Amino acid sequence: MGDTAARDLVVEMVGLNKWYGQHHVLRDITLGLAKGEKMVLCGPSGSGKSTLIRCVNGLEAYHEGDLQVGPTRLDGTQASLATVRSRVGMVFQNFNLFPHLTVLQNLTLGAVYARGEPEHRAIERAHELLERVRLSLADRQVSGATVRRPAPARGDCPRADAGA
Amino acid sequence: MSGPASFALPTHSPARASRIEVRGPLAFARSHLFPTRTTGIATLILGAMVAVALWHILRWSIIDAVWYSPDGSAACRTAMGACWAVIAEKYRVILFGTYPYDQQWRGVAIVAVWLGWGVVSATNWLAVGTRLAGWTIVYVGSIVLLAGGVLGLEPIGTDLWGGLPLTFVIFGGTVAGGLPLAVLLAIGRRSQLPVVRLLCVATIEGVRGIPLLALLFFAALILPLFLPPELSVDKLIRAEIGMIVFFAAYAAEVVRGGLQAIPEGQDEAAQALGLGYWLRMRKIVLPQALAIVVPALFNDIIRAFKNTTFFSILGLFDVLGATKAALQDPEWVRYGTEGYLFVFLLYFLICSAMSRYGASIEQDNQSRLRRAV
Repeated sequence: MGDTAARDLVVEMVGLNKWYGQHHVLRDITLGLAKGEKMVLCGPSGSGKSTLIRCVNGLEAYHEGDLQVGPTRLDGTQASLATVRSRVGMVFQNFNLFPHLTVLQNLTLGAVYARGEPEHRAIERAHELLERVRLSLADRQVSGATVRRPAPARGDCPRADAGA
Repeated sequence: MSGPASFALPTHSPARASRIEVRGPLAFARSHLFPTRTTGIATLILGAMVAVALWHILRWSIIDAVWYSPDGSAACRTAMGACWAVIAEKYRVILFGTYPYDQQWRGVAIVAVWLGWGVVSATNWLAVGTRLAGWTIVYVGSIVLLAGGVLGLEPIGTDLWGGLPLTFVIFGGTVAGGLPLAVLLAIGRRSQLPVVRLLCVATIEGVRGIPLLALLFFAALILPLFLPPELSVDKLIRAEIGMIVFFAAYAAEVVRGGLQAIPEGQDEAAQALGLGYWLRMRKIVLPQALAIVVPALFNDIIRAFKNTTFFSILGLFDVLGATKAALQDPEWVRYGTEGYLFVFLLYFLICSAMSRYGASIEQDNQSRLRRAV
């Protein structure tokens, strides 16, 4: 332990604590995630798995401790939120795709508007990612399962250093 | 051929036509007008009453009516039916108010452009942005054309504006100013910042608690008494601001309903992509929220059109005000019924057209309302 720089951590939590009212959800979480490492969090429902993940891109604020994502310390300021969110991808439990946009717009929105990438590059990359989830925009028939496939692709769109 | 055979599917029966006639006027009459003896008798009695009423209306409004009265209202005085000659005589005043007679071609142009763009923009031939930009041009163009003073057009003060062009301009300003204000009030009411939230709640609840007429009287007649003379603002503009605020307070609550209908996950997903607050609102939340509330918004928009008639009480010559003025002519004062029927018909046609416009936008919105699984 200790020598974090050498291990090249992309997510590092030290003594993270969070309460919902009086309910102490996250208790002294200390955890490091190295580049390329995959991690599975498991536990009964209500044990705080989602809360922990939502902390990583600032959808939930924590109350005590320290959370560092890449070079950025997530301290709740708008600047830190913006930097972290443009680097961390997230696939939601119920996907939350944008129903009023096309699949392609779902995938390019973040790249174009949050990171200011040129549109043609974002579209190129969206096509690569769709390839990876075996979805072609030429498909006219989209079943219930295929409708969800863009979700992991959107989650991957920020050149993921960390996939939550 | 033992046990399982009893579970075999029966042979298919060929399709055949139903013996009960389900279509056509005869079938409709049998099932809707004469299903039982009592209903049949009621149908006959009500039918007779409607026929008598229709006959009277037809006789008064068409058969015995006077359409043209060359020397004053003389021909009308001896007639039994309606005196439509009053419309033939006064339509220029009703439609264009006190606007200078030789400049009324501007009013004709404005009405024509509004109706034309209304038809074009009700379809989905053009993108939503193009349609809105078109309405902006139509609106600004209308005001420039009414006011004059540019391109060699004779300048005409707002006190002379009147009739249908004025009604359109009041209505357009109410919606163009009121909708953005409504969206801001609705967003502000859901804000995390207590001062912003309090201001928005106070504005919405305060304005909703005042009758429109009281608000307009205050804006048009009372406010100038308190303002220093160098701050004098045109009466039309003061009343228009009252209209905008009133419309916005009601529409804000409609928009808030739409905002609440959008699942929280939508905003969170947009946050996770790194989009800022206003970008999330513009790209994710508002497009979906506004699409949901189009039917309720058109309720408010149609009401805003009818509320323009309040301006006639303030001494402005919108269609109703101009009609009232036109019918004060002692020669024609007896034919107010015909004059007002014409105005009712005019409002009815315009408001029905707006209903159709709303229905058309709703259809176009289906794609925006499609929910992911």
